[in-house]
Amino acid sequence: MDKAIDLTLDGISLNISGLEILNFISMRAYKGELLALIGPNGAGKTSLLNCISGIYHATRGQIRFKDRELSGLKPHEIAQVGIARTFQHAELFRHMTVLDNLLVGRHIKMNAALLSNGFFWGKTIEEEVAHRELVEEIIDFLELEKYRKSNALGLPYGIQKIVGLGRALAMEPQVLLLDEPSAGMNRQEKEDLARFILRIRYEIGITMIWVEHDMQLVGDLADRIVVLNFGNKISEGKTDEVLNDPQVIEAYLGIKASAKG
Amino acid sequence: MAFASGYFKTTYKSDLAIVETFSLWICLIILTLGLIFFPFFASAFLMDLANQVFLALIGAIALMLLTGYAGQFSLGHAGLIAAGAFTTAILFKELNAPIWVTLPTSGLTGAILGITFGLPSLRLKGLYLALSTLALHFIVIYIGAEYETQRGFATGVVIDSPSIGPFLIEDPRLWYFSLLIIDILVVIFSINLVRSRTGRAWMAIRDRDVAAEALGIKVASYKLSAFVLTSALTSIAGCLFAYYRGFVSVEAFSLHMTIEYLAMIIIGGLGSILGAIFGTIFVVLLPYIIDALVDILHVPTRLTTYMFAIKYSAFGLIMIIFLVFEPSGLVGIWHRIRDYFILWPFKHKPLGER
Repeated sequence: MDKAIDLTLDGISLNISGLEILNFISMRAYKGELLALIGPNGAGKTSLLNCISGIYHATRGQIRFKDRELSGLKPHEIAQVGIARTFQHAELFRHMTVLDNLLVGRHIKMNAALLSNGFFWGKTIEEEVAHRELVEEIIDFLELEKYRKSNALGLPYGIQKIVGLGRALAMEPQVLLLDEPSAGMNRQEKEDLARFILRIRYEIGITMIWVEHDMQLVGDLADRIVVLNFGNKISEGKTDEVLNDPQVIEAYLGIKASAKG
Repeated sequence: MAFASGYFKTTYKSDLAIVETFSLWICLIILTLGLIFFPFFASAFLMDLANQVFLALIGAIALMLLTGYAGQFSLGHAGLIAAGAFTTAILFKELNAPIWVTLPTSGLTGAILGITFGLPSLRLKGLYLALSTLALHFIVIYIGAEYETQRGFATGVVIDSPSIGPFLIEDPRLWYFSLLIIDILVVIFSINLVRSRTGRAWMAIRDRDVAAEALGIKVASYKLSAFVLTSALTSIAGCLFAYYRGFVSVEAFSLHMTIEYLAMIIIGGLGSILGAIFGTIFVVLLPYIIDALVDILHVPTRLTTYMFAIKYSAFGLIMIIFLVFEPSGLVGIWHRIRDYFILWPFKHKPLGER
């Protein structure tokens, strides 16, 4: 693959109070690809996303976005660079409406500050209207119309996850980190999600690193897969190759099954 | 312009309107007229009550912004009011400064205290933060008491009524209108804040600070901005309080005052400017309501010696009742009543309406 590299992870290790969470992980995400990050529970998938988005700081190793060094940056600085993420449990702003949740996603693209906001001068009104229009596009895209003015607190879990995705999309990121977007969704919601992910991949063209447990979804959608197991990268490559890798089958199903297969 | 049911907005700009319907406009105009004509009919006692509500409202809205919107707990509220009041008293006594000097200086003092005591909020949350802001209260009270004893104002500092140009603001009616205008400005300013970028950032930090930071919000500076703005506002309220009373003494700024302000925002309903207004009216009037009840019910005179204790405990009791049975406060009750009439004869509101 000779495509441009968006995100480079170089020897990422993470120790938290003596526990080795990640061990020398190196990987690349190419521009515009849908890269699935899979592995059994506790493999360190979410920790790796947390390292990229600055919530954890890797003990060793480097993370680069294009040519920019990301290690040591704070989460809000990484968001400014153009890396957005969703959370495993949606983590919506509970007492705000869906609309406001999405508008928070526009925060970094807006400029009006406290005084201008307080007096609601021309600039603030202009900005509020302009960004409302953009947020409405996302609401259309993710089919959230009827939840627009509902509080995030009372929404069905699947919808909360979609709102979380919308909030990240509102940042107009170049790289999108999805942390188990399908967890807790029913069949229909998963199919909607798959459609949204494909549309983001092919119509908007955002590079995605996608942590996922649903192997069927991964097998159908992902361009490439990286497999983690106990903090080590055990496989990386094209979807079909990785899913048939004996090591991967072993990590998921145990030794006996792989011997038989 | 439309009535509350069956109207459609056609632009996103029209969705920004605060006063949306014709009936709401009428209510607002009636309220404004009522507020304007109130002083011409009210007794001196009622005027004093109204002015007390107006004064308390500035501090209550400040605390609502800080705690109800930005989610930062503070027990230093009485301390900040005291800081404003003492800044005014000291400037007046030492330099004979007029109000256009003392008012901004009080605001500045509050802002500086706000930065200083907002800093722990970058590390501490919830009760621990509340405890660290408690230090602010005692430090300000200590400094105020020291000033009183050192300069020989053992019983307190007397301040003359302020004058703006040729107007001496002494008459309760003049106070009423000045405070009314200030309050309207503060209310509009805060409503605007909470429906735009700054307010959304504050609420995001309140609800999920990790997610807020991952979305690019500079959590530290937004927390500090909340502390600075609200502290400045509270100290300005303290300055006005000093002028209105004409007398500043540390005894007035006890912890009980902090609790009163907390009660205003909790009883009113956290996370709502309207709630702050309801809560302020309720809490300021409560002691007088109890007095009136005692009069009406002909409570035996030997019980009236316990009035102070009764007021205190009624206060605590009402706060507990609200926390347990109506966490969304007076504003929650108000919304339910309003919805009942708007939706009648239907029982439930459609999904998505707040």
